[in-house]
Formats: sequence, structure tokens, C-alpha cells
Amino acid sequence: MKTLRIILYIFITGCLLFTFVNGVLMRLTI
Amino acid sequence: MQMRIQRREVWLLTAIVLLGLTLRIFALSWNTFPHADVDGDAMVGAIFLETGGLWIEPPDPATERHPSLFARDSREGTPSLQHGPVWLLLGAAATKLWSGSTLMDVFLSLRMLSVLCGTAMIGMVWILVRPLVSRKAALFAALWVSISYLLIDFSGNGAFYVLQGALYLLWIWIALQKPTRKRAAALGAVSGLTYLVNYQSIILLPAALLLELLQCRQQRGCLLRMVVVTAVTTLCVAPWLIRNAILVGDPFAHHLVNSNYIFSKSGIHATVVDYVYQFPGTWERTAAILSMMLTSWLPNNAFYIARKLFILAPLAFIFFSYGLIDQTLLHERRNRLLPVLILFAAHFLVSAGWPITKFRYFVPLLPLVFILSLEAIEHLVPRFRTQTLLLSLISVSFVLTAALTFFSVPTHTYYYDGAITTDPFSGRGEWNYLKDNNLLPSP
Repeated sequence: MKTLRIILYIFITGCLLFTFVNGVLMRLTI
Repeated sequence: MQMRIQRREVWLLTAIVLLGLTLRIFALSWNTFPHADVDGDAMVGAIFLETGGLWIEPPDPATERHPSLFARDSREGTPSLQHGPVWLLLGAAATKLWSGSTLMDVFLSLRMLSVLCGTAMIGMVWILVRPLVSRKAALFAALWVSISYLLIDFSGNGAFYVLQGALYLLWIWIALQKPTRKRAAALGAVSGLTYLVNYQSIILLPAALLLELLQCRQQRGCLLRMVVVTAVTTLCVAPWLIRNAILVGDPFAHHLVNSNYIFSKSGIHATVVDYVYQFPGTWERTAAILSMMLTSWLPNNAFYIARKLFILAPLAFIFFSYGLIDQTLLHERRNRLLPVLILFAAHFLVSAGWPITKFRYFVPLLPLVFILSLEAIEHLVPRFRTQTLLLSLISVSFVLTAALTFFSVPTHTYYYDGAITTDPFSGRGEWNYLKDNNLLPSP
């Protein structure tokens, strides 16, 4: 369970970073 | 579950509700023109007041017959099917109360109804979060709903999504009670009613069945409750199904409109035979749709939902994302939040599995994200003072994104998105709509 949680935390961090850079910063309309 | 309500809490909640109501009345004032779907609802409402029937095109033998989705002569009238009847009938009934009759009169009534539903949502989210998370979290949840620009604008634009969102919260409140036959009947009633507001809410029935299944202790009792949920939902939607069967010959004719949309997005095109659109065989269709759903729609829409939640739930979305891990893995938290988690997953899947996740689908989703974010923050940030500071910081970022959105579109409307970041079509939907319809105010 502990390993699974660590893997998921790392996965979420990657997804959030990718989404913020590629989905927010690169798609600004203001 | 019961907590004593302190006087200070009541004052704060009243202030938050009043703030939300004021902002929603402002939204009512800047939503002076109906967006496409709302225009359709207002038109059907006005035709209902005139003819007593729910028509898109009332019967007119003088017109020329045109092809349609079902075997019915278009000259005998095209029945309204695209949306469920609840919202437009509410709009027509409210218009009748003050003796209005035109499309714009019904539009005004729909806008006022959306103000009411949007304001009710503030109180409902407080009622939900208080026993589920904490008193402080409940007040912040109410504040976020009150100042979220999406929820403000949709509480003044006459669209039914705020009613759908409010009914989702009611469904969760019922689902949080002890599993009994009475609860099953109530869940069925709300599921049926919400389905008649927006067909997307069909998810409430499988969500209720899954909830009964996951909370099952006695096989017989749980099976009985599942039968009750299904029977009551069917009973609630029966009048609409019977009406469609009588008018068009198919009780689920209303789904033809949505199927037609999905078919066209999957590259399946109809041929017209005897004025009726005909589609290729079932297997061919299913394979094409499933392939599009898994390879294109789901991943693209999931990305769109995630990137938009950075704006719609600023900072809170980060805690929401990490919080989901323990909320689903840890037994106690999963059991406590089960109805919220099931409904969030179901709404996410139905929205992301659709060819394009429309911006308006965020309206019923956002309060659920707020609830889960606040629960996550309570666990991830244990110190009381740091927690309050963080929640205040998030509230300030809500105000900032609301201000940025307000100034990014000249009419301040937000139906098609494209403010701060791009819309699902990588463009500026609201701007384009305003430009195409000559609605941009002159400089």
C-alpha cells in the first residue's frame, strides 16, 4: 500500500506539472 | 452527524449567501442575450405558452416536409426532444405567473430561476460539507461556490446546469443517510427528476445502484433497495417516455438527438430513406464509437478537464489531485466520501467520454471538486493556523481568477469559455460567439 501511494504521488506530480505547463502556461488567452 | 450551529457561523453564512446572491444578480444583468441552448429552451417555453405543446416546430401543413430522425411527417410538428422537459416547463410556468409570453420573457424567467438555483447551491454545499469535513471547511466551501466566476455567470444566464448541480448536491445529501428503502426511493426520485433536467444525469441511476452495492451488508435488503431505486426512477421518467412513444413511436426518441451527434463525431454518416435518417448497422457503429472514445475523446477531454480545473479551482485543484489518492485508498475516508467520489467519477466519465467536453459540464462538477479539495486540505495540512492561511490564500486566488475572467470578455459572459486559457477547441469560444452574432459592444 505504501509503495502504491508513493508511485501515485509521483504520477500525480508529473501529471500536474505537465498539465500546468502545457495546458495552462502555453494556452493563455490574456 | 449533528453539530451545534454557532451564532457567528450563521452570520458568516448569511454574509456569504448575500454576497453570492448579489454577484448572481449582477450576472443576471450582463446576460442580456441567450446562448444557443438557452435560446432553444426559451423558444420551446414560449411555444408551450402559445400552443400548450412542447414543440420545436409546431404543426403546420403549409410547410414543406423535411427529413428527420424519426418516422414522423415534419408537417405534423417536430416535438421538443433535445432537452428534458423540467427546465423549460419551469421557465414557462414562471413566465405565466407574471403574464409574460415571448421568447425573451421566458428567457428572463429562466435567468431568474438560475439565480435562485445558484444561490441555493451555496447553502446546500454548506449543509453537505459541515458533517462531512468540518465547520470551517463548510464556510469556505460556501464562499468558493459564492465567488467562483463560473458558478456566478451560470447562475444568471438561464441555463439548466445550476439546477443539475443543485440536484447533484441533493442526491449526495440523501446518499449520505443510512441505507434504507426510504433512502432508495428518494435517490430514485432525484435521479429521475435530474434526468428530466439533463439527460447526462442518467449517471445518477448506475451511481445509486453502485452505492447500494458497495454499502451492501444483507444481500436481500440490498437487492430490494436496488429494485426500489430503479422502479422509482422509471416511474419519474415514465410520463416523458410515454409522451415520446405516443408522438414518435419510440420512448427513447430523445436519445436519437444525442446519438446523431455522437455518430457524426465518429465519422458515421446517415443516409435519408423516406424522409428518415438511417445509420449503418449496430456493430459497425459501436466499434467506431468505442475506438474514438478510447483513443481520442477520453484522453483529450481528461486533459482539458484537468487544465481547466487549474483555473476554475485555483490552487485547490492541486490538493484535490493528491487528495484523491488517499480518499480512494484509505478505508475510512473512502466510506465517508463514497457518494461524492462515485458521483464525481460518474460525471467525469460521462463528460470525458463525450466527443467534446463542453465547458458547461463543469457547473455540476465544480462543487464536488470543492468538497473533495477541502477534505484533502484538512488531511494534508494538519496545523489549524496553516490551514486557515492556505484556505484564505485559495479564496484570494478565486477572486483574482474571477476578476481576470470578468475583464477578459467585454460582455462578461462565460458560456463557451476561452477566458484566461483556451476552450476545448483551442480557441476563444465566447469571443467567437460574440463576434459571429454581432454582440460585441462598440468601442
